[in-house]
Amino acid sequence: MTGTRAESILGNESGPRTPRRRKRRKLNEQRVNEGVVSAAMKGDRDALALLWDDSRRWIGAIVLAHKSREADLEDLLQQVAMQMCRKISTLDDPRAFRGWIRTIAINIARAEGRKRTRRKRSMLRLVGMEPARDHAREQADEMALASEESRRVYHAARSLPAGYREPVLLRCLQSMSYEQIGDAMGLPVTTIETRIARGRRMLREILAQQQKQEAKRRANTQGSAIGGAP
Amino acid sequence: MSADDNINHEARDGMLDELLPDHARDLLISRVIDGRASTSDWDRFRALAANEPEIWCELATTHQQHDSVRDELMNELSVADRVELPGGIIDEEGTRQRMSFVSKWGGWAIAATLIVVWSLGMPTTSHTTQPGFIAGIPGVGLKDAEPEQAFEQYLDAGQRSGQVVAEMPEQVVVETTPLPDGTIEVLYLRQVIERRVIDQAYRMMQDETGNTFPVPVRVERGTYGAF
Repeated sequence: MTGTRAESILGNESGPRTPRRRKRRKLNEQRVNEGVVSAAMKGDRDALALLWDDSRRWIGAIVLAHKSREADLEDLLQQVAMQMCRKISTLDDPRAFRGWIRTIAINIARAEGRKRTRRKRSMLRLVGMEPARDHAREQADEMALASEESRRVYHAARSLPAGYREPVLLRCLQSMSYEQIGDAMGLPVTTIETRIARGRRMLREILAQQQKQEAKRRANTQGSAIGGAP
Repeated sequence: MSADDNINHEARDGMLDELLPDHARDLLISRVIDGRASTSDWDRFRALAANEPEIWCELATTHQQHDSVRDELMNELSVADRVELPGGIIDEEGTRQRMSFVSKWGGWAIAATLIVVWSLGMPTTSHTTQPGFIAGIPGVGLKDAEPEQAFEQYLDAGQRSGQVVAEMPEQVVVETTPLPDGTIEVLYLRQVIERRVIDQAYRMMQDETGNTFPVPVRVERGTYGAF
């Protein structure tokens, strides 16, 4: 590692802390959030819209952590939005919102996604539309994606065991603190911290293993090419 | 350390002491990446790095991987911004009428989970009964054609104009009735997939009691692909 890279990482260290101010700000945020959830529970559409705007990305991350590869994220999120609208009034405690919506998201991701997408795709496949469309879409996606390497890392992260995958993905959203992740998953913050740390190690090991295999495969290919040369 | 972090410092330090070296190492790396490392965490990290400089490499690799996952995840989650809450803006009479039309005729299509309702209105039956017009495709002379011929002409003309994609290979039997002369009358659906460019699409959703209702789909300019 270069000194510059190390220094930039070290630069994350925060300056002098003021725990009291931090605690106050946190309490304020909590009250605001709970207020919005409470209003949404009472049928306030603006509050509901605000809550959805604020939550849809991390709910999306949960759906991604649990859905099958074929399932369409947008379809599933639409179902979560609908369930949220229909059932939020049945929520007992605004503080339970994250855990409640997470359960809904996971249930929908697991139960609905696979069969719906299969049906939609099979209809299109019958008339030979799917390959062309998907190919075009993939090309567009490819252009949008940062790099092949990033994709490889992301796919490896998606292959982590569910208990690790979910907190690792949620932590990638800047807005989600450890406490909020713990709140959503119904786990203590220390467990979340351990899972994220272990999940990252697992990811490192998976990718290192992949690199080794790739290097071995290349070496074999080169060896056989040299061996096979006249 | 982030403002939201609520872990007691002593508990955090104690946690590190109790852990096996590998786990403590993972936690330290994780805390540094997330900007949650306390002063004592940094002291431990530096002490560890003095003996095992490779921890810097692990830190850099993990940090880079975290960034990659974050970038890809944010990219994939961008679709979330298109998902709106159902209801409210779609409560128009016109939409309701069109949806009732769809609910009468759209039984098989609902199986595809997605119904597209074009905001310009559904094609009226008068179009199809006018001589010389089939399903809104003008200029096809059918006055003297047999039904099968007419249907083939419609498919050909539609495919040329881009309005017809294809006929579904499978036909759906609706009803079979034995007739007195020993033959069997079969009522069946022939399904044709048509293509249309529309202003506004609606995704059909079902609530827990089975009621179907439309939700507008927000499509940003420049995006491409199936919903």
